[in-house]
Amino acid sequence: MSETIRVLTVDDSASMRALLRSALSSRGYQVSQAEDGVAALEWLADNGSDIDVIVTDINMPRMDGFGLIEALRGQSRFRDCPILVLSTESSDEKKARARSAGATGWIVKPFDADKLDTALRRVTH
Amino acid sequence: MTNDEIQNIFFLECEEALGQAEEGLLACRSGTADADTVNGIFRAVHSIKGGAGAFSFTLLQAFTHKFETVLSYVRDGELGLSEGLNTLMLRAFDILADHVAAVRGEGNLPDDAAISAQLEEVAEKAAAGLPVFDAPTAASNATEEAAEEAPSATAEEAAAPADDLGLDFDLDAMMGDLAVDEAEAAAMEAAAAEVERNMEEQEAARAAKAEARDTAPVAAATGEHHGWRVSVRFLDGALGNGSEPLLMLRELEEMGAVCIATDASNIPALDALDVEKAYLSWTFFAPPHVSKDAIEEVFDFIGDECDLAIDSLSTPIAREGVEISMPKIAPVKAKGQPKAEPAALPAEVDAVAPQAPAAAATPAAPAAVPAVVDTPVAPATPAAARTANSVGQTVRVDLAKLDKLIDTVGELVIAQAMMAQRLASHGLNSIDEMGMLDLLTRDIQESTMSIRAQPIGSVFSRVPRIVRELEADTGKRVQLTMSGEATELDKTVVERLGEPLTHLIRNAVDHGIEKPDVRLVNGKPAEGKLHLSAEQRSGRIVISLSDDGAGINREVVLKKAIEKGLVAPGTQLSNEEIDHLIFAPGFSTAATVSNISGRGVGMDVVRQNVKDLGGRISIESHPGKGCTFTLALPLTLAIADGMIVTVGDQTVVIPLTHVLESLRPEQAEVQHIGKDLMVLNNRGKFLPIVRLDHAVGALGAADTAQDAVLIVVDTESHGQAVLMVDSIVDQRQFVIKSLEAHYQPVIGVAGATILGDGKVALILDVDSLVADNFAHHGSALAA
Repeated sequence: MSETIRVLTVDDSASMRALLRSALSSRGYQVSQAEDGVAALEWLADNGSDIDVIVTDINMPRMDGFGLIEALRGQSRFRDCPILVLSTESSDEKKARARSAGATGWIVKPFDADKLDTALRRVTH
Repeated sequence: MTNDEIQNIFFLECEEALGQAEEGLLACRSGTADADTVNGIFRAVHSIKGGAGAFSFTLLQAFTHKFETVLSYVRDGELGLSEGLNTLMLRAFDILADHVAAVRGEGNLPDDAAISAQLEEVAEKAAAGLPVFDAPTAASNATEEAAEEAPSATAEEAAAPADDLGLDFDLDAMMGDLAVDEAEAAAMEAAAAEVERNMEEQEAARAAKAEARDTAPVAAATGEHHGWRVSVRFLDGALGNGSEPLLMLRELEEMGAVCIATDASNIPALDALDVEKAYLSWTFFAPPHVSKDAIEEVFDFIGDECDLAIDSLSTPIAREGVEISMPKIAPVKAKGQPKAEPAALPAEVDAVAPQAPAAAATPAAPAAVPAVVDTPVAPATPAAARTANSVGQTVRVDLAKLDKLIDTVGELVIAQAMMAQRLASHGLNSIDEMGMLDLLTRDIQESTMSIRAQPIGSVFSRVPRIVRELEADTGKRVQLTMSGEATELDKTVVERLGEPLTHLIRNAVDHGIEKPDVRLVNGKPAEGKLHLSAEQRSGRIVISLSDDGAGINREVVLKKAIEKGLVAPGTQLSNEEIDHLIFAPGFSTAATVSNISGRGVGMDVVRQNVKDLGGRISIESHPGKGCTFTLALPLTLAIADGMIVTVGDQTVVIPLTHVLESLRPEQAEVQHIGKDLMVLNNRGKFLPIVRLDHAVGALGAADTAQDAVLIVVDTESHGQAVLMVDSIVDQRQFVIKSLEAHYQPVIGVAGATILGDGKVALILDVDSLVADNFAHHGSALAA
């Protein structure tokens, strides 16, 4: 796994984005960030082929994580892109909803940087 | 970026989130909230919770969690907004704000036990579908009795006793709530039943899981533990959602697990083979040092899409036991076999096993990558888009950088003025380029200043809470209205305005507005009115706070002032002068020092604070009808208008805010008192003349008032006075440079500025200059 993994994080909280960037950059990921579902879709429309995995929050203004995942799964080039949900919610109901929306996996906030690393490697080639 | 820096970002977020939440909660209370509002409140609290978790602020996290739970019921329509709920949420908000302040190190940890318990109770009731806040339990202690008397009373019934207790209920709004409640009752009941069912199911699932977890270690503990047999069968969906089972098997191997069996018996005939489905099952041996949890975690993401069995082995597994079940299908002869050709599976499972699912997992490559990407889903409502836009169009700038910019712009203004002066001396004062530069410089200056400007709303937004607390503490009832929240003024002024404003509000509620029973006797509504407004008026920001309370009791004030030795007995004072006595240091009228406004600091501190901001405060009181405090504040602290004057060999700047008028006196208008003192008869009013040359030590200034220019100034402490100077040079804006970074404070000097010709000129502190002059010559003339 020598190749750099390119990850897009989607979170409306600036501090969460900073935490993710710091945790992932220091572990060798190439990090891009968007602040909500709409911004993520816009970014992916231009840079979608440069991404290996997407990590998204659920509760966001404009377009939430479920909406983003559903929108991406509807596009053929993102149909098989690993998408992890990073959320404070941990109920099975929400997880099931994320799964049915098309999420690859679920990580509970606050995240442990090493666990996030493991999870990202678990879903990326 | 360091962790501290990230944490600071979080604190800024908290500030924004709190603002959003409070705005939303107030909208809820005033009945103007819609789904977006509630969502916004939820998201704000939710984001604070997320950050609190990330930065290990456990108490903040715990509290936001409880608050969020209640909000989630409101958001999902399972809890209707009611008076009681709004009150509880606002109080929870206040505690939340305190929690945030505490983690920022700006306050003590709040006592959140009572509110936490109430939040939990509401959440429990909402979860169980029980009525919440039919009786306003959270409103106040007084209503608890009422609530107990009628524990299952409807809102309508509860409203009646509450009204008798003098509490405020908007009956119309409540009737509205009721109507909504009725309409939603059926839906809510169904939703509640659904929730209950879900909870039961979840509970059962949890119990089963716990049981499974409990029994496994027992087996391991009783028998000998020689590792794990991990059987995994991927189901149809295992390859969906971007999942890749191969990576999980690889992860298992990285933990030291070994594949001992592959079951390929489910692979269908080629025609029926769906490349997006999984057909293989695997059995792995995992060494004993690997924990069961670690194994389960590997398959965490596709828990529902695979059958996973992890059994503790009581006997060591024999490596010879590796087996492969070959598919019971005829050898495939077709050309163009898929890579996953099951028949090609060699016997060496260890090496090959992971490749098989990989091949099976590889979906058909899209024929062509579409050139056009699907249009993103449009934002739900225009309102949502607007909010998002306003968020997206903000840039956070370090204040130090901004101040540096403002400083530089200040220098630019000066440099431009210097150049204009130099050009003028060469007869080039009306060239077009200069005019253009002048215009641009002004534009830049104004835009830069506006960057530092902040809406006063950030101060005003704290006021409702202060009033709520005061209502609770005093038993008085206050209807607060505010206007002009969008009025902008300098950030520093905004920040330093909080304290004096808080004090004024405390004062107004504590001393101004009467208790409800007293008000009723006086023919006023039980609820007092308090209006806070801000507006820009002729280059100043005018903030006024009006109440409809008792006004200032002049008899009491005068008596007190005489007692305290502030006024000589028998002095004749105008009403206005008596009113302004409350600003005198050490003055306090409350017969009993209450814990609200009598905190040792008085109105004199308020006045001092306002004065420090370059502002003034005044009172207009109408006994029995109310009182208005008016604060006039400068737009910015960095730049001021000034009158440039010369006196002897010096050039000084007098801040224009103090200047009332300037004149050349007739001989008869100036009278001498004793050797040194002169007074100006200004339309019948005698004003003391301060010789500026003496005050600043200038040499060669005009010696008589007739040869000089007199400038009438207004001061805070000594009313009007007159400064005697030689001539007025110019009137213009100047950039204030503090001298106190390099020198000690000097009485009479507020700072320095650079003039158009590059020379440094001192800016006069008119107040302290005049006060100092009176200190030397006696204040007999002050009145």
